[in-house]
Amino acid sequence: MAHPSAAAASFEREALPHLDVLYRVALRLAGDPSAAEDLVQDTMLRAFRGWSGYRPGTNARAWLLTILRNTFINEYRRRRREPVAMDIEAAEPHAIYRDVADADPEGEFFARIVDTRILEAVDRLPTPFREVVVLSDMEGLGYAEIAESLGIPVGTVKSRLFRGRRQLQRELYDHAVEMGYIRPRDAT
Amino acid sequence: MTELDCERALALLQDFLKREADPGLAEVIERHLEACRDCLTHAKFERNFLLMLQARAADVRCPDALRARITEALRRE
Repeated sequence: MAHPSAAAASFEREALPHLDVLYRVALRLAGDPSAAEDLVQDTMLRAFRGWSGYRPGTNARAWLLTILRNTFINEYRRRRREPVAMDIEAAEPHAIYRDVADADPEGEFFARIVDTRILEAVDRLPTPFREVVVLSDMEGLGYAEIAESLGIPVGTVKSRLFRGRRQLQRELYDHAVEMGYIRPRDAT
Repeated sequence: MTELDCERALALLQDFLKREADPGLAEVIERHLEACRDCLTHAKFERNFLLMLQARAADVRCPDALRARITEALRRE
């Protein structure tokens, strides 16, 4: 094809600017850079082939994230070891804030934890929790856009976010205690 | 709604920090945080956690080689 078609031009204009966010989300979903690269490339090819199904002027980022996420679930998830699932019905995880309130009430210990430790803890969240934490807390998407991207109700986004965050805080707190960044409450 | 108890304020904290609470409700939460030191500290803790996560995510970009590979693959479509 000598000249790019109108479809190719509009795809380049509307879809390609989202490559950075797609890559970051793919990294956290797939777990390593090479799988993330394959996932993003697959996603973009699928998106291009399905571009006639995209309604111009609607949210291209959410549309692309849906394809990324479905591609991951259908083709990539079995390649990585799925973290042990939290029991969604189990009792509310207990807030870490209560444990640190005396020693470090504003959570300054978080800032001392190195990037790789934080990312490893995110990667250990089971997929349903990991994807909402990544989209909301790392990428800054709103509840409605996350609900649209993942095909789940806003209420589910909120409850998974809440539980995912608590698990993450718990892991980071345990790590901070281990590293001596914070003293556990009952060790005084 | 004019007053909140701590339990209700903490239940709404996530929406408040994500700026997803309705403006009227956000105002009520804010008033509660101004008046309640324990909830304010808890809010700061959660906010610090969120800022920390956001900061760790920010500077990763799609590698140029991948970008080129995708552009090339799209041309062959």
